[in-house]
This record gives sequence, structure tokens and C-alpha cells, in this order.
Amino acid sequence: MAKRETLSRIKEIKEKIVVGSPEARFKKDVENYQRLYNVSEQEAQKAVFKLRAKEVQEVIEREGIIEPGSKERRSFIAALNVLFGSEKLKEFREASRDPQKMRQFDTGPVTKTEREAMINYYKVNFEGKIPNLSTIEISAKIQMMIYGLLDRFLGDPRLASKESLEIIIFNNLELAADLGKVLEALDIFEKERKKFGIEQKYEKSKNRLKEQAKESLAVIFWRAPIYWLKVVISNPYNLKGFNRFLVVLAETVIFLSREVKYTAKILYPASKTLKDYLETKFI
Amino acid sequence: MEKKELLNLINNSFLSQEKKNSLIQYLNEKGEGEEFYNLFNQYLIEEVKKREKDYKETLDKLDQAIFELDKEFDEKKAKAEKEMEEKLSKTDPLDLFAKGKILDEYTEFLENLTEEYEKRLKEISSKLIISSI
Repeated sequence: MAKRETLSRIKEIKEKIVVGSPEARFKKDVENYQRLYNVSEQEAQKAVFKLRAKEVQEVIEREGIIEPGSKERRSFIAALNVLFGSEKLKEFREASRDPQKMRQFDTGPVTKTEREAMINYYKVNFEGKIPNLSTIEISAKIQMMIYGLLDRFLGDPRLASKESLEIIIFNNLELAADLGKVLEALDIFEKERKKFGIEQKYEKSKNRLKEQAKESLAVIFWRAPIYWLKVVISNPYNLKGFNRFLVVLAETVIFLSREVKYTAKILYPASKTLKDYLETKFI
Repeated sequence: MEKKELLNLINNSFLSQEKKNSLIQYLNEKGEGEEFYNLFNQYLIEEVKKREKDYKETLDKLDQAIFELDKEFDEKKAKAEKEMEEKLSKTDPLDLFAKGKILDEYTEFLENLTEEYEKRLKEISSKLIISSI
């Protein structure tokens, strides 16, 4: 009984996930479009796909960037997945690498606005850090490429044909190549972003490891004296007998806490205890 | 203070076994008194001063080792970065597949470099710590 309930719950969750997926939303939007404008499924698919591509362009226009995790990017990819399936998309990518199918395309130079948008994007996403100029230029060019290729694709008069998008593209492989190139450009930006993220991680990791090594060293040298200090201070009778030592230890601890950054963590509690002790002694 | 408690303080102290034995012997022979505390304090102060000196020296050695390690790794990274940039500059701007492969190679290299740095630094600091105690 419990197993049946679990299975039913899993089914329910799966349905919810599928209904909420970008692929499911694409199909739903196609249905709605078909109903609203009284057109064929093929025409509706073409129209909704064009809308998805335009949304990607709008984001680039507005923000200078289409982020790897953005809703618009996922919706665009989902539309491609529904319309063509992963095998065909792989062929589109291959077509984009074939000079016979891929037409010439030039983004032109990166403008100040595009460069600044990219710098700002990295700053916001990587704690104020920005990659070198060459990465900024490549990243900005990629965005321009996505925008420009979509522009060329969407403006192609062959799309006005009554035929399905699938047939139009299969009959005109240069259009498939454009879409394949858009997909590769989206991937490349993700890779550029990942590369910069790993560079930052490398620097951070180095700093963290250095701190850990120095902290370990402080622990090795000072753990035993501090432990002993706690034992001594816990008995007020001891204080008189070890006055000389405690004054020297206090000086050492205070000096190290101030001068050697990495000792602060281990010596700070001891310096507090000693400060209290010295205050009591000299009041 | 009771002798048992003093023995406990000696045994739990951070002094060398030789100094501990010396204090125990003193306590057994002459008992607790100002001179005993003077000696105990003297040993403790000497040990703290010694630790402070050794600690600073070891820290300096660690800093030097880190400096050299950073230099070595930064050079490796700079070399790989330069090679990547050169490869990218020679790639057709439209050949995103080739660009992707170059970026993947470099990313993998950096991931391995991070792991290698961690391993080497751990080795260096362990050796220094062991040699200092």
C-alpha cells in the first residue's frame, strides 16, 4: 500500500515537473497560439519559435548578455529540442562547422557599450573581479554573434514559406548551420564563464590553503602553552607562583596576536584571559 | 599548593621531559618554596621564548616555501594561459567548436593545477612542522 502511494506521489511530482518544464511550456504556447490565431500547428510552432529567438535577442539588447541559466536561454533551447530533437541539433552543430553549409559571418568590432556590459556582468557575478581584455572581447563578440546569427536567421525570407520549420531547415542547411552556430556560441560563453570561475577558484583555493597551513603551524606551537595557561589560571592560588611567567606569556601572546595574522585565531582567547588576569593583578 | 597538584602542573606542562624531570627532582629534594617557583618560572619563560623564536623561524621558512611554490605554479599557469591565448588567436573566429576544446583543455589544466598545489603545500607544511618539533 505504502509502495503504491509512493509510486503515485512520484508520478504526480514527475507530471508537475514535466508540466512546468520549458519544453512543456513551448508545447502549451504552440497550442494556445494555434487556437488564438486559428493557424496550423506548423505555423504556430514557427511563430512561437521565432518569439523564443527574439526573446534571446531582446535580453542581449537590454543587458548585453544572455546568461547560461537564464529563462530565455532555457526556453529557446527547449523550443529547439521539441522541434528537432537532440540528434538533429547535433547535426546542426556539425553543419555550422562545415564551410559548405556555414555562410560567412562577421560581428564587426566590439563597441564600448558591449564591452562595458560584459565587464559589468563579470564584476557582478565574480565578486568585483573581471577577466583580461581578451576574454572580455571574446565574451562580448560571442553575444554579438548570437544576436547577429539569430537576426540573419529570423530575417530569412524562406521562413515566410507555408512549410514547417523542420522542412524549411532541412531543405536549407545554411539555416541549420546558423542555429548550430548559435548553440555553439551559447556553449562557448558558458565555457568562458567556467574558465574564469575556475581561475578565481584557483586563486581563492591558494589563499585558503596558505591560511590553513599557517594556522596549523600556530596550533602546533601554541596549543600546549595555552592549554597549560588555562589549567594554571583555573586555580587562583597558582597566580602568585607563576606571576613572572604569566607576564612574559602575556607579552608574547599580545605581540604574536598583533604581529602574526595567522596566530590571532588560536591566541585571541588566551590574550583575553591574560588581559583579564593582568587587569586583576594591577588593580 | 599540594605536592600532587604541583606534580600534575609539571607533568602537564609544555616543558621538555628533561626540564620536567629536573623540576620533579628539585621538588622531591627541596620541596615547594620561592626557589622552586623561580626555577619553574625560568624554565617556562625559556620555553616560551624558544617557541617564539622557533615559531617565527618556521613561519619565515613556510613563507619562503610558499613564495617559491607560488612562483612555480604562477609560471605554469602563465605558460598555459599564454599557450591557450595563442591557440585561440590562431583559431578561425567562427570555429567555436575548436575554441571550446581549447577552453576545456585549459579549464581541466587549472583544475589539476589547483589539486597539485594543495598536495604540494600540504607536503611542504607537514615537512616543516615535523622538522620544527
